Amino acid sequence: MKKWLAFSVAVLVTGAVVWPRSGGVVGAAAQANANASVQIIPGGQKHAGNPGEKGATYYALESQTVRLTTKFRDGHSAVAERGLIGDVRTTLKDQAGNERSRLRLNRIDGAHDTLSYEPSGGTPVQALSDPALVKPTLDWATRQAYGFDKDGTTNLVWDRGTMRPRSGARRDVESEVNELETVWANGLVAKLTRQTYSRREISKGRFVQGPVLVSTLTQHGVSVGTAVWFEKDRVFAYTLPGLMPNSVIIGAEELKANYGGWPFTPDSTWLNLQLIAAHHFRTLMAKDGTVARDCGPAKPNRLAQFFMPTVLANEPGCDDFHWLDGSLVRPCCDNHDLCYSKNGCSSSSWWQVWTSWSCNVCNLTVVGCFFASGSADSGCITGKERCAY
Amino acid sequence: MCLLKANVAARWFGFALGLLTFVAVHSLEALMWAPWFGGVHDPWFLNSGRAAAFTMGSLFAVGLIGGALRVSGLGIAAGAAAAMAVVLMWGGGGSIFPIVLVAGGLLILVSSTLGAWIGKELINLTVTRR
Repeated sequence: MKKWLAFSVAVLVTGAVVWPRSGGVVGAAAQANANASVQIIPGGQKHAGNPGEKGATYYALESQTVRLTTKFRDGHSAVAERGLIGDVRTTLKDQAGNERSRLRLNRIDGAHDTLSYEPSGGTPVQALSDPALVKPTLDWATRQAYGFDKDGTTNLVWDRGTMRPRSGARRDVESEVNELETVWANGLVAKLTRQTYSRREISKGRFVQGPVLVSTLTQHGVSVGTAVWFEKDRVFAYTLPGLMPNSVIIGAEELKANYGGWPFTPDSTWLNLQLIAAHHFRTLMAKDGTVARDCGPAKPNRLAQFFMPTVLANEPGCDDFHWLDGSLVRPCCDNHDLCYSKNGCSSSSWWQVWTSWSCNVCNLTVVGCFFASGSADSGCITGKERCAY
Repeated sequence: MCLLKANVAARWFGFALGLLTFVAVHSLEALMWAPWFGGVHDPWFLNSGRAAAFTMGSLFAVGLIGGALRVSGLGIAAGAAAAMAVVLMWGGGGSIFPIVLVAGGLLILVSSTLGAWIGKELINLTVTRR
């Protein structure tokens, strides 16, 4: 009997191994896909993204924004923050400081996010974000939270990368932004306000006036630069006194040769980031003579790095167990990473149990969470939400 | 006495076999990480479903052959688990490394011992037939 049971299991295992080979069509399709020809760009030919859209550099810079505070014309204010694991949290308040709503974007994998919107006095909404339409930036989360608050969340449709009710009109949130503060890495803070400038000559023969967006940049509290966008004249000017001798002025004339004029209309977020980027890159140029850096590992480490998995405690998802990133226990890992960062824990806290009670709680919680198949939520750690157990 | 020595030797042989199998499989995964396993995260068998299946399949196959040769399945599992722990902990261990060790160890144990048991029973079956 025991032998026949073993024989049956062997047959089943053999069948399982052979089974995928019968899917010839799928296999052929995968083979065809694997052999798709490589697109070669001829020498001397440019290949860039659409200049009217924000590119990789913009998103790389944006990803280093720690906090974005937006004040709207109607007195509402929104604070968007990026967590260490790539999640984005936005809190919207009214003029009196009462909380109106919260919006959270949680990373599922490298491209997909889930959106969770919780109005203070309404029904929460959860939706799947579309990576083809949306990049999970702090700016996007702020505008989406404001749009939901103003227009509601019934019968949502996508409209140029923003969700809005099917019956409602498209909302121009940019025109409703009054002030914007971008807190970036390295102590850089750009603060934007709307003003009106009288007629003035910014360079020989070039006069500007009217409504402007003014961004002032500070580093560790010290003023280091200013940028201005003249909305009517479509002229952008910036100055970084410690890093460049003169102001830079860019109008449609300067962009005509390459782009035929301004390929897009700068908005408040872009202006702050542009000023931060200018300061960042000019600082690198002044310091290193280049903005590139050598990221290759030192030679003795190459073999070890090939063989051993790199340990990054703040990797989004389950470190060294990313197979489970799309499963029910994913929030356990994210909350554990969050708990670690809040309490300054490291993996050594697993065996050095006497060093921190908080770290022990983080570790016990994640074990409990795995056993409960992800039913324990972050409230158990942060104390902000209801506990599942 | 001789039988005892043979058993101990078989266990150590199993341990070495499991250890070498895991090291070989992990090296192959690291080498072919992007084309075979997607290459999203660092090369590690629990970072990808396909890599986990590949590792378990390899250990099952080695267990099957080992079982047929009367090599201990538990020895193979112990060797593979030891190699797994060394590879994982060499860099300091991730934030949930005890969970990873336990889960990885269970997967290794199941695949190795199941393979060894089936191999052993298949050999017994053929011997009995004769």
